[in-house]
Amino acid sequence: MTTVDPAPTNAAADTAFENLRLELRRGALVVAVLARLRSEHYGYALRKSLAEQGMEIDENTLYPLLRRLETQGLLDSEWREEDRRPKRFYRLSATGRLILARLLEQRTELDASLERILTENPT
Amino acid sequence: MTLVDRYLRAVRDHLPRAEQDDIINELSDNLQSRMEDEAADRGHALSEDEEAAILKEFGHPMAVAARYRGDERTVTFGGRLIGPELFSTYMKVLAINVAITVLIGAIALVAGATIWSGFAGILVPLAIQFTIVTAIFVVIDRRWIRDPDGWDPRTVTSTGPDIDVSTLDGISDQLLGKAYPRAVSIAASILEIGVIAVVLTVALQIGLPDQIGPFEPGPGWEDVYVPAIAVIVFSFVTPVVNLFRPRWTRFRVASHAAADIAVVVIGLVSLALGDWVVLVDPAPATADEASVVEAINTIVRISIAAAVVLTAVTAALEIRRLFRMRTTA
Repeated sequence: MTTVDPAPTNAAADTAFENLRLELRRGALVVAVLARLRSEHYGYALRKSLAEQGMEIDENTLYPLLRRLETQGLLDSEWREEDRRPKRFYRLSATGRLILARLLEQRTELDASLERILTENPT
Repeated sequence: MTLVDRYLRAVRDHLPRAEQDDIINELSDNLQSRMEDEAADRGHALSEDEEAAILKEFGHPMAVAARYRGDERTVTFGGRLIGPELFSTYMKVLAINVAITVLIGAIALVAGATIWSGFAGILVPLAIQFTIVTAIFVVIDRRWIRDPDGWDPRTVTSTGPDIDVSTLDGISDQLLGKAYPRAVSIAASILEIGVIAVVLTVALQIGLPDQIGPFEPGPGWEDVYVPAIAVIVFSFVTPVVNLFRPRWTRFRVASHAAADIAVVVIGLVSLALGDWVVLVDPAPATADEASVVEAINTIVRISIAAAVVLTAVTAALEIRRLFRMRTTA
């Protein structure tokens, strides 16, 4: 006798989708942040700039992420006064540029593979 | 101090010391930039309610700090018991408990306990402490999970050195919310009065019996009984005063420290005097009676040594808190 898994409830399906969506987004966010920081931004301005391009990112995700990327050597930062307030400006470092280029190559390859798979196995 | 300042102070409390200034300066600018944008969009300066709504959306100070710490460690058993927001504090509390317990065990061994009773004296308190500390943190974490928005930026307080919050108040704040600090302080005072009343009643009821069978109290009790009762009576002063003056935190810390120092002195005197139970007439005593006396005295010696160490640590923490309050006043 074969057993059939019960169909997931709507709530369970929603949770599963949400988890997978976040996983899919996580990598894309890092690439988006690195790409945007080819020109200099401070934290809040970067968030606004990403949001304008349709890439909403939670403040509590973005600001700690910037510090982590800097610790990894992908970003450089500098404190500078603007609008009579000290602000920390981030920009892509030399290492960051190399890594971003490699990540973008990977993304192109992944996109192409995914496209082939989707074309061969249409829904 | 503005709402944003208080919020940033509360975040700061939970950040690694070396990065506090850097992170808070950056966070401060990002928050101010956002507030300015919101004010420009709305065409008027933000009200306190509007600022509070933005801070609430930003997140609880402990949750914000946890993201910066990048600490994803949790305690799980089937599901999440203690999340990353509380994990580091949980580990610190547990580490302090383990250190004190091991120290007490070491003292017990030096004081003449057998290896077995010494280990039992460490393992049993460790298990009890682990259970109690974990249970408290699980309750606090549950409150967050069930009600992540159950906090109000207007009532956030820093637990840093400038604002004193006793352990009891701190736990009460976490469990009951910070909206009613005065009520929390009064509730803590009532609880403290109740506990001291029970201790005093028990101490006076038991008293110092003249003789129980072939045994009688030794010098370790007799000479410190009256000072010990005096310290218990003195301990009433703190919660009674705080009932009427709930925010007299310096007074509370100072009087607790004074009582703790008195307890340490009494404990040390009692340890120096030695025997707590002696035989009324040693001459006709059996070997069993002599060994009972020895066992009781060993247990009491270990208990008093443990109490002295714990109270000395508490006194040191109270004194440090007092100094910090003075320097930041």
